[in-house]
Amino acid sequence: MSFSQPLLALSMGIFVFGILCVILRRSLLAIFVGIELMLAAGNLALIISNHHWAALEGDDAGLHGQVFVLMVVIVSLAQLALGLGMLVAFHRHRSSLDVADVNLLRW
Amino acid sequence: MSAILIALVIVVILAGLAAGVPGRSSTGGVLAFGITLCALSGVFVIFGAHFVAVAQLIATLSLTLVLFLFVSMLEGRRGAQAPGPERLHSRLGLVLVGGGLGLGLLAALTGVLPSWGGPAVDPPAGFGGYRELAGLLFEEYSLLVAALGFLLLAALVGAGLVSGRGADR
Repeated sequence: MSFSQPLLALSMGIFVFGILCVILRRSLLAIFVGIELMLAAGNLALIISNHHWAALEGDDAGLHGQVFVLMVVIVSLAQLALGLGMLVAFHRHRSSLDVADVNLLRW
Repeated sequence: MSAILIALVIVVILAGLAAGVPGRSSTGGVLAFGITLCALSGVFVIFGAHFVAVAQLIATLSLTLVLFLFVSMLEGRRGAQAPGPERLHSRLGLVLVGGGLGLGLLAALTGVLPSWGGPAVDPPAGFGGYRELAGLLFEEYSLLVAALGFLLLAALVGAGLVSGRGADR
């Protein structure tokens, strides 16, 4: 029995949880966690699809899905580093992590 | 054997999501997030992506540690306040979504949904090995690797600059 489709459903569920985390939580750190969850769900779908494709096509399929997962991991680390830097600066100015207080660009 | 492992990993992932997303404190949420991503690395190993699983595990552990430190330093005890009624409703909705998702996956894994399935053929030998992956990275995707290196460097420098602004006030 192949578990590709249930695990693709799981990746979709993790993505939904990430979206809910971004929408419902008010803390900026929790929103970062939600974004990371969405990226991890995309990684899971890429890995499962690559395995599925390799099982169908053999050696010609390659590991392109795994390469893209590595890229996504690096990009997520970069955005987290920059986001946490912005979060420290914001907390220094406002002493808060609530998204309701993030109105620095409002005019 | 792999069915039991996958079922176990799915249970861990769902437990981490159910504990983390509607959780009361951000500290618990961050720890549950780390557990979820470590379990995802287990899925990667089951699907033959060993090198990616190790990379994801290292990234997850460092990320969880950094987020835990940030939560501890920035939020303190304010994250452990009692929730209001509207937040209780949102948590109840999240638990219902998670429970429905878990039941659907359990039904799929036990064969209740017979239309689900796919090729039971294993991938070719050596699939997911570091030699093949490194060859692909440094031959076909060398420009992308270099660009991502610059992106990571720029992000680190930018994070240092942004977080240092206003520190002398």
